[in-house]
Parts: sequence; structure tokens; C-alpha cells
Amino acid sequence: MANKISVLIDVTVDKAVSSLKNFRTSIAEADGAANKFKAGGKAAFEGLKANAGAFAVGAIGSVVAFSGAIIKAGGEMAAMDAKAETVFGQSLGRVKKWGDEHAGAMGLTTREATTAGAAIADLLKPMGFSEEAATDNALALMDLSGALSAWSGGQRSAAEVSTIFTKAMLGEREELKSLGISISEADVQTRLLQKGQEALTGAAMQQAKAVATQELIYEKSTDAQKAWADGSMDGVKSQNEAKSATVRLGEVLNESLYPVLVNLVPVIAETAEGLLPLAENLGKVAGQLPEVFAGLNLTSSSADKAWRSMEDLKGEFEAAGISGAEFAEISGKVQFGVIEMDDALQILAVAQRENSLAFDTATNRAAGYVDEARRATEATEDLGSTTEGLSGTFETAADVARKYELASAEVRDETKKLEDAISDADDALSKLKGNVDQREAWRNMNESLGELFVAASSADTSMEDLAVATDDAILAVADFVEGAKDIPPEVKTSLYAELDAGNLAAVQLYIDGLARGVDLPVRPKVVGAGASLIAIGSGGAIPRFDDGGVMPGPKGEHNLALVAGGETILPTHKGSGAGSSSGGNTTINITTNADPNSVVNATRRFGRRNGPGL
Amino acid sequence: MADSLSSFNKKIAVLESSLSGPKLKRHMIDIGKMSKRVAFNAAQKDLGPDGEFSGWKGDLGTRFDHLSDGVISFKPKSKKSAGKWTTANDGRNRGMGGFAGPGVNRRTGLTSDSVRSGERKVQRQRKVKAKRWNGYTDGKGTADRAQQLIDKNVEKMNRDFVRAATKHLM
Repeated sequence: MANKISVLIDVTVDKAVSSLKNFRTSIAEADGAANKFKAGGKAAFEGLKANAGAFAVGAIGSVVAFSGAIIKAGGEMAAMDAKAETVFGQSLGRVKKWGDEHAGAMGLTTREATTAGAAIADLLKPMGFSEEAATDNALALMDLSGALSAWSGGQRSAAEVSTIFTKAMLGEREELKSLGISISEADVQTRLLQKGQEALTGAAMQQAKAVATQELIYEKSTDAQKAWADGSMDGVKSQNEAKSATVRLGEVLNESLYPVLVNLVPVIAETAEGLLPLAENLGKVAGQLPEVFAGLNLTSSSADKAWRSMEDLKGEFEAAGISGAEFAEISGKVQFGVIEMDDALQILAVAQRENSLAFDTATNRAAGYVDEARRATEATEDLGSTTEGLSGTFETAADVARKYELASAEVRDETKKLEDAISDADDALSKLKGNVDQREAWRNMNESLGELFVAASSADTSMEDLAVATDDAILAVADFVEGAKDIPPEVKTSLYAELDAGNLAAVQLYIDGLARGVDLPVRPKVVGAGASLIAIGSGGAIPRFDDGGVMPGPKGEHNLALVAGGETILPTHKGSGAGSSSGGNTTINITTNADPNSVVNATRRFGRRNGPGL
Repeated sequence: MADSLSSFNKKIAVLESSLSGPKLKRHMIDIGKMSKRVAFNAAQKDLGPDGEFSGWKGDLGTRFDHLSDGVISFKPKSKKSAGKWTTANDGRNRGMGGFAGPGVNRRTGLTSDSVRSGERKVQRQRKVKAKRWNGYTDGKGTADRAQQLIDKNVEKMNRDFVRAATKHLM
């Protein structure tokens, strides 16, 4: 997206400046032509005496005709100024200051606004308003003219609105309706009645009606006044400013050129005035003047006709006794000067049109710039709409992203859980493996102990074999002790020491004291002659010890026994109570809220697990 | 008041020089300064007295360049400034660029090719590195408002310029 603050500002004065150059060239040519005309005119006066006067008069007409538009405009401006000065008198300065500040916003030049205000004041003063009061009312109505002109959407110019006001003050209120204001005669009479002015007569009544109309206009145009004041119409004001600036520029140029052209007229007139008395004596010549004027109203296309008119006039001059040579010489000079002036003024007019066109072009460019700005604004708005759409898309994308992130987080959580589960499983597996290893170690230990028992019981066993069997048994027991999780480390140290000392019986005794439920290998026994019967248990039967007793069979050999549920097994070396195996009771005093039997049982479990003296 | 064509011609020459050359350049510089002032005021109005975003170093600078007679360009003074103007005008993350799709890690700007397969492969860098998401903000229309005011002021300044140039004709 392009940034929004980049602006290319082009005030486009190049064409205006170019036109001004051309304008200056034309003025210089016109100036030269005018000087030639003056020279020609003087020569004519000196040489032709009376006869040339008719042509000089024609020349004046020619000048006025070609510069008519400018001189007319200049004359009107002068007349407007004169009227404003007369009407406003001492207040003119205040009016012009007001015009400088407000006329542009109404689309008027200061002179136009002053003239329009003068028209209103000129109406009010005969009604008995003082100069100052008339000025105040005129300015107030002119202000309102601008507001209502803008309120009409440009359908009515401020000057037109002021004219409508002027008419309304005189009682012609119909046109007020075009401004959205309806004021009837009854409304005015009602207002006069309210103010107790219904009985007034003459100028006083006119003044009262004018004031009542003005009040009603104000009361019925509050929306327009509010919009004009609160800035809602700033766009219209800005356009009006631009418009009035252009008009004012033309006004300034006309105003400036007007005295130049007016100054040219006396130069010509001076020549003519001296010739006119002679011309009056030439009645026949005077009879030809209209045609001459028509012919001298020169343009390039009418030059031949003018010349033909002069040929006719020449005949008249000759008839009046003026020689053809003199006429030809003088008329040629005058005509040359007039034609030069004609050309110069035409050039000047063209140049002014060019200049005006240039300013129009500048104005159009300014308008184009405003259009560009408006289009840019619209484009910006479109872009804004597009951006809104895009942002909606990105919001959707962002939603997707957020959902993705949430899903990712969930996956991460699940992965973590899975890792934890695997870790737990691994731990469990390790634990299981440890247990398996430990059980294997248990079996190895018992086998080794069994082999040692067999070796020790057999008379055929050599001392070497017995030593090997003993070492195997010690290693197997050490291996079991190492992996046994339920033997405290300090106890293991003690057991290792016993094993190092060869006290296998003490270690075996401790291990036998460990409470554990493990499957012990029960070896099938061959019973009877010929090994035809294989029995499990001691002598082929599984003994029960619910009434106590000693397991039959060789000492250290494990065998099956039936144990009923809830039955307590107390080996003889453990005794019937805690510490009994050591030959004495230990009294433990414990302050506890727990069940005393539970405490006793726990103590006994500790004793059974850790063995005597450990 | 001119009283001859030659004196009138001199006045037109003054008008011509008033609308061109050094005076025109002075006028364009005045327009540029006005534009900078209007832009800064707009930034102040929306962003605070320093005319800066809090947490975003540097102001919303502008510059103007005199391109030719009667023509200047007015723009942000740098690319960073342009970004700030865009953000002030349209809001943050309201335009193009930045976010490159859900496959992008906003912290690293990297993508994972194997989202569907569930097996991560070698990551690769996208052509447009995504930035860390810092949310949306609403645009304040700062630049639009400044530009409208600049346009309006330029019109008025041009009128005053021509008025001053023609003052001697009155």
C-alpha cells in the first residue's frame, strides 16, 4: 500500500506566464502603433487642416469600437465605485474592509459585493434609514446572501440573492420562494401588529415593512445561516473563493487597462477637436460620415470596403475644392495610423483573451486538481473498503493461525503426555526387569544354596568342590542382596561383611526373615523303587501347619505347605512376639492416636523385615 | 495607475516576474513548509505532542523537493517514515505483507514442511520471513486529513500569491 502523504503540488503558472509574455509583446506593438497614429494624426492636422477631421472622428469611433468591451467594463467599474461612494459615504471604508474579508467566500469580488450592498443601502436610505443603519442592514443582508446562495446549491449567485432581497424589501416577495423562504403580506402585517406599527404611514411604514421583512427572512433561514457559520459550507466557500479570484483578476486587468485606453481617446480627440469646425463646414462630407464610420470600423476583411468609401469621399472632397493630392497624402497617413491602431488593439484583445484563457486554464487545472483530489479521496475510500475486505481476510487467516497454534499446543501437550507415559512405561519396564532379575537372582541363590547343602551333605564331595559350591552360593547370595530393593543399604553393607567373613548362614537367615511372597522352586522327588513315582512335597504329601509344627525334610530344603487364609506363620527362630527371637521383650512407648494393634503389627512387620539384631 | 501602454506593459512585466522565477520558487518553498507543518500537526493530534508512536522510535517525518518551476513533491522523509504514516492512517497490520500463512512460525519465520505427515523434516526459510504478530490497530486517517488540509491551504496560498502579484495593477 502506498503511503498516503505523498503529494505532487503543481501550481501550473507556466501557461499564464507564457501568455503574459505574449500579452506584453502585443502591448508593445499596440504602443508602437498608437505612437504612429499620434504622429499620423498630427501630420494630418498640419497638412490637411479641415478635411482630415472627418477621418479623425472616424478614428475615435474605431478606437472606441475595438476597445469597447474594455472601456465599457472600465466605465461600469468606475460607475459602480462612484455609486458605492455616494451611497455608503463615510461607511465606504468599512464596507470595503468587509468585502475584502467576506466577498470571496460568496463568490464575489470586493467591488461586486460592495455594489450589491450599495443597491440595498440605496433602497433603505430613502425609507428613512440613516447612512450607518442602511450600511449595517445592507452588510447583514449581503452576509445572508452568501449563505442562501450556498444553501441553494449554487443555483442562485450571491448577487442574485441580494437582488431578490432588495425586491423583497420593496414588497416583491415572490422570488423569495426560490430560496425556500415564503413570506406573505399577511406575515408582514402580523409582524407590524405585534410591534404596534400597523398604524404607521408613508416612509415610516415602508421602513417598518422593510425591517419586518428582513426579520422574517432571518427567522426563516436559520438552517442556511447555521450551515454557513458552522463550517458545513466550507467546500462551497472554497469554490467561491477560487471563482472570485479569477473574476477579480480579470477585473484588475480591465481596471488597469481602462485608463490606458481612455488616455488614448483624448490624443485622438485632440486632433479631431481642431478639425471638427472645418468638418462642420463640409456638409456634404458630413452626410457621408455614417458610411465612412462603417467603413472605418476596420477589420482586415472590411479594409477594401473602407477604401472604396474613401474613394467616394475623395470625390466629395474634390468637389469641395480640396486637391486630390493633398487628400491622398493626408488620408493615407491617417488611415495608416488607424489601421495600425486597429491591428494593435485587435492583438491586444487577442492577447487579453489568451491571458483570460490562460487563467481559465489555470482555473480549470485547479478544478481538475480538486477533481483529482476528490478522485483520490474516492480511491482512498475504495482502497479503504478494499482494505477492510483484506483485513477481514487477514482476520480469517489470523483465526486459522490461532487455531493452528492452539492445535499445536494441544499436540505438544499430548506429546508431552506420551513422553511421560513412555517414561513411566520405561520405568515400569526397568522396574519389571529389575524384579525379574531379582527373581532370577533369588532362584540362583536358592539353587546355589541347595547345591551347597547337597555338597555339604554328601560324603563324596571333595573339599575343593565344597569350596567351589560355597563360593558359588556366596556369589549368588551377594548377587541377590545387591539387587534386593527391600534391603536397606546399610543392611546390605552388613550382609556383604558377613559374606566376606564366610558367614553364609547368618546372611541366609536374614534373607529367610524377609517377608516376601515368591515362587520357590519345588523339586519333584523320586519316590519308590525304580523311580516310577514322582511326588511333590515332603514324602508325597503337602503338610498343613494350622496347629503348628516343623516342616519335614532336610534343613534348608524348601517344600510345599498348605496355609489357610488368615493363618499366621511364625518361624521358630522369630518367636511368638516382637523381639522374642533375641530372647527378650522390648517395651516401646508411643503416643499416637492410631489403633494400638496397628502400631504393634507395624512394629512386628519391621522386625520381621529387618531381622534380629539388624 | 497606468496611463500609457508602455507603463501598462511594465506593470504586466512585474506581474510576469511575480508569477515566475525566484518569487515562484519562494512560493513553492512556502507551500512545502506549510505542508510539513500541517503534517506534523496532524501527527501530533493523533499520536500526542511529540508526533511519534510510543514504542516506535522516530517521528513521522516529511520532506519536500523542488522538482521544477511551480512543482514540488511532498512525501515521507524515508521508507520508515512512510511505514509510520501508513500505520497512522490505516492502522497496524491492515495492509499487505507480513503474515505469510499458518505454516510459518512467527517467532522464527521458519516453516515446517511436514505438517500433514506429522513427521518433521528439514525446515526451510520462506521467501518472505514472517514477523512476530503484534495485532491490529485502527487507522486514524492522519495522512488523509493532513492531505485534505494541505490541498485546501495550497488553494488559498495560490490565491494569495496571485493577489499579491496583481496588487501593483490596482
